[in-house]
Amino acid sequence: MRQKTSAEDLALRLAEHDPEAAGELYDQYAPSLLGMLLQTLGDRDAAEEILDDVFIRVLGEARSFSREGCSLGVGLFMLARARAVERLRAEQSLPALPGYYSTRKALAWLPRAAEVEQLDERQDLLRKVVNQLPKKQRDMLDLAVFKGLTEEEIAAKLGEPSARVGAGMMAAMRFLRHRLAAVTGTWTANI
Amino acid sequence: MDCQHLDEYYELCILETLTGEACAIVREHLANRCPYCLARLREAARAVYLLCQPARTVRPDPKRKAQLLRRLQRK
Ligand SMILES: [Zn+2]
Repeated sequence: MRQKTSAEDLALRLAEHDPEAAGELYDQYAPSLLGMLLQTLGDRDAAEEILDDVFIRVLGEARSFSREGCSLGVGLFMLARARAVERLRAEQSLPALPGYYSTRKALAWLPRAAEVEQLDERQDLLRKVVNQLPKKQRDMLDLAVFKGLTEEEIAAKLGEPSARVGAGMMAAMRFLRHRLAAVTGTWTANI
Repeated sequence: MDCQHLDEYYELCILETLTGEACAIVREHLANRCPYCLARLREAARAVYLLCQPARTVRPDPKRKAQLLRRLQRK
């Protein structure tokens, strides 16, 4: 039988209510989650409040994450971003988005814990990949990811036609998809 | 189901950047557990996770961590 990776092992320990496992998960993800929340909201109190809620919510589903082999890290990020964007849009009187992410339904498509563990190990390399994108495309993606803006809202903000913004973001995603597949291919070759 | 025409959209649907028909179709396929769309969304979620990484990490106040762990233990 294949040996469990440390991410899978941590998910299992959380599912079994190992008292130290929650602290380990927190140490691993809270600094990057809080960074993302602050980058989105710019308000430390609001960011910390969401951080706590998201940990409580995702840990409440730890058993399902472990059973499905899903990455807790991605689950935490998806939920934290969704909550932050919801709050930010409400503050800015922008219409609420329908909400793609719901913890339970997303278990059907969240990446595997082992896959994401390998992504985490290659964060520095992957960050360089993102930085290779043209500045305009990176700006568009930042507005989409960290400000929760739609294609039309980004277009209005940047003073660009909506179709150009859509095409720019799709080109950026095509590049990232391609590079990510190349990195994943390297893993397969290594294994 | 042939869903290859949706290949360009999955990441931007997860981010809710696109609000048009393509994402409505993806949502519908998701509800019907379309295997192709689920597999592509799983790949797309990795790219979105990568994009969500912040410019800088911020260490939370250790007191908050202790409080949170106590709350979790009471549950
Ligand atoms: Zn489909």
